[in-house]
Amino acid sequence: MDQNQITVTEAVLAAYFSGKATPEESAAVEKWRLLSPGNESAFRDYALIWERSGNFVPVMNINKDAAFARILEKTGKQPMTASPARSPMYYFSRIAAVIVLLVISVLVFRERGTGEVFDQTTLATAENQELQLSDGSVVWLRNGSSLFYNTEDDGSAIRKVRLKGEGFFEIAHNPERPFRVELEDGAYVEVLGTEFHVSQTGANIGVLVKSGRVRFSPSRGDFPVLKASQKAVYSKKDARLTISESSSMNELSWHTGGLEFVSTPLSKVIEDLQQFYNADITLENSKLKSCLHTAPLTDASLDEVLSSLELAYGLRVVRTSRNVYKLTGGNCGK
Amino acid sequence: MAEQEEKYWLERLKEGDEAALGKIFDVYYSDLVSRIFRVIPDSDTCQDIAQEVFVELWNKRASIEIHSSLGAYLNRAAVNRALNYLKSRNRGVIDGSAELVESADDGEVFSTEARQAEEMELRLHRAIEKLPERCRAVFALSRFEDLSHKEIADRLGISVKTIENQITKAMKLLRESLRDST
Repeated sequence: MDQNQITVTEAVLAAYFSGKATPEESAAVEKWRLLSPGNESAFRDYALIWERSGNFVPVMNINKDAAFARILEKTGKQPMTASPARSPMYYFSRIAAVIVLLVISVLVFRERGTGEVFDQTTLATAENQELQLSDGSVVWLRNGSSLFYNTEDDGSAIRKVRLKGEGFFEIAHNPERPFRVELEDGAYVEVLGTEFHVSQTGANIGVLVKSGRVRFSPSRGDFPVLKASQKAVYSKKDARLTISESSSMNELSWHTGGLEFVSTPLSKVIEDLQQFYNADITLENSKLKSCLHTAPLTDASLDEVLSSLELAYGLRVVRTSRNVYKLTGGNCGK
Repeated sequence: MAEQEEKYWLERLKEGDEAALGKIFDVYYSDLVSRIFRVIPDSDTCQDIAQEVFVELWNKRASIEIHSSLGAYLNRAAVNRALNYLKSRNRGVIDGSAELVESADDGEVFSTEARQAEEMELRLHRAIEKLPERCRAVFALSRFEDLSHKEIADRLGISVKTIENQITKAMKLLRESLRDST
């Protein structure tokens, strides 16, 4: 036995796991493990604790707008004019037009939340982007969003990526290894093999499931399992979660390249059309608002879509200027 | 943030462009707050500390030299501030009696091994949240901030022995949380 023997305490084990132990301490730990089955089992418990605590991300709510306003205040900068607190996104959108960066760069992204290391970042700035991951899953990244992931499958128990912004995921089925999409503030979405859509805005996180089952874990509160065509919206401000049946998948139109309607009220159809074609459409006959419209997925032009509405509901389409349309007359019955 | 993008925003920051501060803030603020929160679980304090980091970034923008990455730089600045904060309110280590609350066992029951590992991780994270204040701070500095026991002791102005005691205590409490599984 050594003269000055090192007592293996939990603190020495911690130093050992963090790679900060001295050679003498490491030797003592290795010797200690072999002394009894109890020691070995304690060693394994602590190794597990050390490893798994690495994913610890605290749960908290942050009001970024208010925080940024305070920073401006402290730097002596007056927030401009009427709006007391401009969101950082305001500044970004002003500049977004100036820089159209399409950066696909390789860097080691040390995720600050978890110590998780991803070796690849894809930032889809100018246009939507399609990515194939090493496990066969496919991600469509909406413009302006970023995905952090590993180029090689490391075989870990949970397949993980991290999303900033918005994306559509088609996950390669593998019930043994759940696929986790980490979001802001410790929220995440986890699946076994399915298709789903995630959107994040300053105030909300939305998850829409196209097929399969998904577990959504917001940073606070319940973590429900969502089924196909269910949509969960989590409000960060009041930590409220709303789950609804989604009547259409048209939130995915940026991904599918077209709209589709299944018994969708005409008012909602008009809304989707306006958003997708970036047009101003008014439905003058309010009786038509609740007509249920069904149409297969199409990437037809707006004029074509409107003339199909004309036929279906006997209404009249008047184009008053570029991208401004009025729909008059008509009735629900065909 | 990608390297090229980061360079671009730093240039803009140096020129005194407030939009650059906005962009950098937008990318890093939440992560910085969560990072500090692991060590100091008080939302207001963490936000104050994180905000100071950005105020300093702005005030020092003209002379700032970043050799690693902006993210690493901000992290270091935040951790330094957190350490100073802990030191400033270090009035000897008072150990509150550690309460380990039952793990949150709501939610779906899944049967796969991956799921069990998941539940175990969740329980562990809850237990970290329940650690007594000082104990948690010292454990988090050791676990997440890549600091040795000696470095933590020096920065907080307390003895290595105390740091080791705190870490031992934290580890023991966390191990108990694994046992609480059924």
